[in-house]
Amino acid sequence: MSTQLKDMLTSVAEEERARVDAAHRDGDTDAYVRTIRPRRAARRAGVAAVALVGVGVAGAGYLALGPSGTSLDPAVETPTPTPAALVSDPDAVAGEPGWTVADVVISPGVTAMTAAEAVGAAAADSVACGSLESFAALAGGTDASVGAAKNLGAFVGESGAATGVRLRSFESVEDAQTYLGDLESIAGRCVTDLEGEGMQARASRIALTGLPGEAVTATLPAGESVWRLDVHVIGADAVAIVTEPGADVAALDVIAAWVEGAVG
Amino acid sequence: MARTGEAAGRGLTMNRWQGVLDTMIRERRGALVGYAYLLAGDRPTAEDLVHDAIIRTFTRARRLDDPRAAEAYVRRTIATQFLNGRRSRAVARAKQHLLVERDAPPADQTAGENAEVTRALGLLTRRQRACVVLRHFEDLSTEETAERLGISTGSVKRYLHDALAVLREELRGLDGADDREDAGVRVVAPRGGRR
Repeated sequence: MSTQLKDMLTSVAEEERARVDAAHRDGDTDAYVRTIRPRRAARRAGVAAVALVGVGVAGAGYLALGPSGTSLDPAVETPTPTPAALVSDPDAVAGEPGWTVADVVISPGVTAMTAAEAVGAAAADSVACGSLESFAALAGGTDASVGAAKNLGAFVGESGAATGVRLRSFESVEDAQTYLGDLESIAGRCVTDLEGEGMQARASRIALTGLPGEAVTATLPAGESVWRLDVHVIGADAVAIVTEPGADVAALDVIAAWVEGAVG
Repeated sequence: MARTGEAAGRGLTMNRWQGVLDTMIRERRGALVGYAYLLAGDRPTAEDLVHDAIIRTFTRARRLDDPRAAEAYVRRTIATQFLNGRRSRAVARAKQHLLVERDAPPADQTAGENAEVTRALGLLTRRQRACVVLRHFEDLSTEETAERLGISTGSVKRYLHDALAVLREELRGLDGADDREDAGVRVVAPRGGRR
């Protein structure tokens, strides 16, 4: 049956391949390059993402590109951002230009991937795992009207994988503690959901040796690596760190650097 | 700096990743859409998946100098995005009636058979479909399929078992015992035949 099924699937895929090849003989490489290049530049250099008109229109796919890439033409006129030089400032602390951890300078505006993007279907299907995205953004909580989180950017090392950092000051220590408790609960449910799929994940509330405050850390499997979320709270101040699989800068180093800058 | 393909002809100087992208767009996009079509079941969604996956892959990856590795990344992203179900679910549902006209006579026998296969795949859940495509089209092992989808091997076997039972019932000519090692997938008497 395997052979029969393989033949059937191949026939379907082949029919589609032939149709696409016939419809796109000219290729659209230029249009893709114009779309991707500024994004790469932004990701590498921390330049804010450029608006890309006509890209990713729901349901349109790259049919929207057309052989001549007409629907992407607005992007052609969008200037590719000049990568701002990322200059390390050894005296900079979290939130200041040039903040450097583990020899990597922070790239403003860059965000790390979500759990669903890194882990895949199992995380995407879990409401609890999906909620980690909000905690990674330090969103919500009892005092949602104040203390909006600030995205500092991400440390993007040689691997290209990012370690994203956000800061937030809660209205009170109690609010921060409640937030951490909520995260602990949600992360635990995410772990349970993933374990139901046969995956090994971890979540725990911890105090880091030698550092004030406490943290909740969630580690989810992503291929041969892991995706990790750390939220560390000192008093009413919190830092959230998302570590993409294979990232060069470890969350603990970022926390230590943040604490050093925060408490001197 | 390399100049490659059509874009080079227009005077664009290419980085290495652009050369790989050019190769992929010109030589492999059709195959990628075919792959995505098996997962998604309709053309707009399949093309959307490929479009997004290419942009994601080439935006994020730092080193892209091997076309085969790049294609593997794109395929992985297609499957992940498909399972994430962003945007595509509603589109697929909305377009489904356009794709399969059960009562319409097929243009030729192959087209008719392909429509039947597509219709049958459309009866599966997303995960079942993904398991069938990765296992029986991409020829991944059970373990590789599990790793790719981020689920256990037991789940893969369960999804395949259920999926193959549906396909066997829906598709004429798809019968007999499963000869894949994973198929603790013992399927009972095929009922075969089209409805």
